[in-house]
Parts: sequence; structure tokens; C-alpha cells
Amino acid sequence: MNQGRALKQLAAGDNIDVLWTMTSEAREQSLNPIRIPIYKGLIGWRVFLINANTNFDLTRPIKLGEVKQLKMVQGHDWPDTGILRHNQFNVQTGPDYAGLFKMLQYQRVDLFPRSIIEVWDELKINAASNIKLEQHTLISYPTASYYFVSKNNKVLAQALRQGLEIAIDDGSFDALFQLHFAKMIQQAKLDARTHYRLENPLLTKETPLENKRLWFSPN
Amino acid sequence: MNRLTSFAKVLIAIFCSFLISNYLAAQELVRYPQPVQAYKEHHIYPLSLLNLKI
Repeated sequence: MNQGRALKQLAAGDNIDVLWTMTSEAREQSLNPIRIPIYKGLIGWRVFLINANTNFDLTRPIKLGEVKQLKMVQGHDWPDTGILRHNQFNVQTGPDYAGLFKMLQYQRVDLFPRSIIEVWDELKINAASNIKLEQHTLISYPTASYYFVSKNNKVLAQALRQGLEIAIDDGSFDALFQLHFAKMIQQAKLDARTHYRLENPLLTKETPLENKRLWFSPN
Repeated sequence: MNRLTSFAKVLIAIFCSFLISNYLAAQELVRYPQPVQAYKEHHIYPLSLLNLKI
């Protein structure tokens, strides 16, 4: 099920009680967000999947101007599409997740930005294909994946909020985060990459950016 | 006889569409199985997080 459809079903109370996805102003207006970034913002730290047969230079970081010339691909209903376009990137879209890899495989696009927590499984799975990881460049934008419930489901929203706050306070949230993502962060070799920090126009003013313990920081 | 022939045509049409749809489904499986699986893998963590204290 694509994100747009799942969000509509959640809003309508149709078979879905809770989902997790990247936030945007529109999503926060139509649903009830639990504003604790479950991936500590890592979903906005992006490296590039590329086609190994590409004709741009893979031995050095891609300059920002060059990145903007290349064709990226994202899901048509992903907030990332709007974020990247706002930052003047050339973004093509596709309707389904699997088809995006096909677009890269057939070189209809040059770059598929993926978060450093998603990309490793995708690389393993595509190991036999010509899809590879670009090694020198990193983009990031402030964003959060939240749990969302429907506007009417205040009880569930409160239970989620309380449970997450307890997990943060007793350290179990961070322990689970480290268990799942420490190796991935290390694998991404963030320090060795040229890093371009982007703006996210879709964040609401309620985003808890000032609460530093909720966010990943490479330092 | 005519009714039987029509019925046979309908059966053949259903059988053919069944074969075609299975073939197309198989093609989808050949092309797309792994990214779909990755999408599922990526969501193990939020499920574990839900199970911590909620």
C-alpha cells in the first residue's frame, strides 16, 4: 500500500489505527501526530543509490551544482519530493516503491536518495543488479518520522506519547535505536562524505527541534 | 449446441485470462520481490518501539 492511501485510510478510521511515516504540514493537519521523531531524524540523512553504468565521475564527491543537474527519483506521494524540489533538485516521481528501483536500473534517473537506515537492505537485495551506492556525497534535511493516529483517536495518541516518553526517560528508546542503527550509521561513513544541508519547508513550527536528545547528531 | 459453444467460449476466455494474469503476476515477482521485502524489513524497528512501553 502506498503512503497516500494508508494516510487516507487512517484519517477515515478505515482498518488502520496507527502508522509511521515522515511528517509534513499537510499530514499533521489531517492526522494526529505523536511528535517524537522515532528515527531521531535519521530518515532525513540521505545517500545516493546510483546506476553503476552512470557517466558521471564516481571517484569524487558530486558538487552541489552537479547534483541539481542530475535526475533524482522519489515516490510521488513522499514529502521528500517536495523538500528536494524546494531545494532546486530535479526530481522525477513514480507511483510505487518497487518501480523507483526499476527507473534507476534502466537509467531513466541518475540518483535515488535513500536514508542511511533504509539503504543497506536495499543494496543487499539489489546486489545482483547494477544499482550501487555512491561513496562520497551526503545530503540531509531536518525531518521526522512520527507515529500518526486519526484525529479522533485521542486515547491511543496519549498512550503512544506516554509510552515513548517513558522509553526515552528510562533509556530503552536509545538502546533500541542503537541496536538497530548504530552499525548502519557507522557503515555510512558520514565523516568521509561531502555533506550538503538542505532546508525543509514542510516542517511545522511544532517540530521539537530544540529538544536535542530527540535527534541524531553525528558529533 | 449454440449455447454449449458459447459456454465453452466463456470457459476458454476465463482460462486464458487466468493464465495471462498468472503470467503477469509471475513477471512482477521476478522484477520486484526484493525491494518489497526490504520495505517490510525497514519497519521492524517501529514495531519493536511500539512494544517497548506501549
